[in-house]
Amino acid sequence: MNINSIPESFQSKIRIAIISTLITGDKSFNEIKEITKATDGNLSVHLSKLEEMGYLTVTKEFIGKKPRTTYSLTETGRNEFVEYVFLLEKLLTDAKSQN
Amino acid sequence: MDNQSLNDAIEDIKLIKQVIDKSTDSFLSLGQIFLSWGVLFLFNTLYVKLFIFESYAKSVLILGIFPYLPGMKFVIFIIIGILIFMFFSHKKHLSGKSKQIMRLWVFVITFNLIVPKVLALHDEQLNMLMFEIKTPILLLTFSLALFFTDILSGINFTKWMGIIYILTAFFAFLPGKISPYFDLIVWPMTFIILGIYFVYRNHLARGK
Repeated sequence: MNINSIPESFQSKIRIAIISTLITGDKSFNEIKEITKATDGNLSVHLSKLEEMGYLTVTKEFIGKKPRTTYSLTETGRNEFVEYVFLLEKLLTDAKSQN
Repeated sequence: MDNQSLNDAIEDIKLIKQVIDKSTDSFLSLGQIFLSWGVLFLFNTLYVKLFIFESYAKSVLILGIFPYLPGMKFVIFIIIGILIFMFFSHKKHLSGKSKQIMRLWVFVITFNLIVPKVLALHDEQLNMLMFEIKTPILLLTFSLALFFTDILSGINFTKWMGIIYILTAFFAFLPGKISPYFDLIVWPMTFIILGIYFVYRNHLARGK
């Protein structure tokens, strides 16, 4: 990954926030919403897009009579995210050394 | 590299840090609250051990002069417990699973603190019975809370703690096997272990 080939998933702040939330563990829709402060509609769209891209998986289950949807980061999502963080760090280190 | 890319990189790093802090810190506050409660319960245990057990005659004398002292101590401890909760949850907001875990434990603590006191007011015989079975009931309710904490936090550690508590509870139901004052150890021990565990878990998450 380099500065000219950043995946689409990391070109939006909300998607970066979603993936950063999931890097610390699986979360429900409401938890992601509470942390990212996104609206229901906006969050649903980005979660579906990230699922399509293979960055996260969705588990739907029933706790008693209540449905619960849990989102987890896939291995691909985790690796891409780590690579992206390394790229950001490299950019900052390069900029510091140039100054 | 242009300034725009650099600014974007700085903003993205900032955002990632903020979100990770937000999603892991709530476990830190939970751990800090539990740890502080554990220390508070430890003070209570020391108070009972030093004031009631070690100097029984003196405590009877003091209680004769200040009959409301135990009630006042109870209220002061409750107020300190609420202040600890407010301090840490105000500093770092409890959200999601940590909020559910906190609700569960507040319910279990309230049950174990209030029910024996209410029964004691109603009936002397019931009060004696409660004194004998308060430790196994405490262990059973704590074990249930530990199982649910495992389900909510997703780590096996509290489940194993819950199994140990259930086994101890059954043992405590047998007459004369475990001191009725064993609960004085269970209260601080449970919250100090849980507190250390959640603070450690937060530390691990940050490391990763």
